[in-house]
Amino acid sequence: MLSTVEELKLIARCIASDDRDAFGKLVEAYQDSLRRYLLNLTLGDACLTDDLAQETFIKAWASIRSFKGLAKFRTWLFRIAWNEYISYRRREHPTDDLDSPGVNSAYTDCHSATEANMDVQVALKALSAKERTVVLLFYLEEMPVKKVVEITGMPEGTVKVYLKRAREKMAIALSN
Amino acid sequence: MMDTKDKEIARLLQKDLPEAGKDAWFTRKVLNRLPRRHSQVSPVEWGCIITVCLLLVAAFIIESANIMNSQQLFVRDILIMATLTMMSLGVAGWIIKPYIRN
Repeated sequence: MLSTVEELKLIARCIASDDRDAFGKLVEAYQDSLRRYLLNLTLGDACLTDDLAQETFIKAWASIRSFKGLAKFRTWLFRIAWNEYISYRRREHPTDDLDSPGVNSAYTDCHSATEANMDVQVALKALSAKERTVVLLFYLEEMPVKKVVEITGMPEGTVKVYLKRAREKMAIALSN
Repeated sequence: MMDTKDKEIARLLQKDLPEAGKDAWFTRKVLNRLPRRHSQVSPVEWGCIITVCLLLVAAFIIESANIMNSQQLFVRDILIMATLTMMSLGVAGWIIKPYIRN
């Protein structure tokens, strides 16, 4: 995990001299958590996860000069990832509603997945995309509500409502 | 701020949700797809180039004024003008180099 100072030095190198090695270090530092978030946001679609993750980092590189350092780099990166996911959904499934529960789940029922794993995955599938992203950012990535608001662009009240709703839906799905 | 129930949910999700598989080539794939910047010269380099150009122009003007005032051309003046010319070519090369490299 990079410290704030190390992160800012790497970003400064990217901005000042288009240092791709520095950007590579940022990719290494954040790819695991970003890909985990996207994998669960896409309900287990590994190919889509990689595409979205790559696009996120490419967009981050292209617009790194607009990164003002007011938010942490991680928050900014996840915001790009969420926007990439929304763009993908609008492009590929224009009639889909981000407030409707997930229909297609690519979570594999591979041999290494335990029953507990599958229960949680089923619970996540019961959520809409917006609820899922709020849950993943708040619980999986342990971001405070304010950061979730920055990433998703949703008002704080809406985020809290989604969290409450998601907890109820997940409780029902897990009890079933 | 997370309460006890939230911490339980967080622990459950962190334990049971899948991780994306390790991809040793992911960083390389991203770096290979990074677009070239529109400007091949970074802002810091532009700052240096403009500063050096202004200094060279000033030096040329001063040296030319000296030659015209003295009405004579010395070896020293020729050497100074040659040096300034070489430095100007060097700066031009510095600007063009990123484009040739691509």
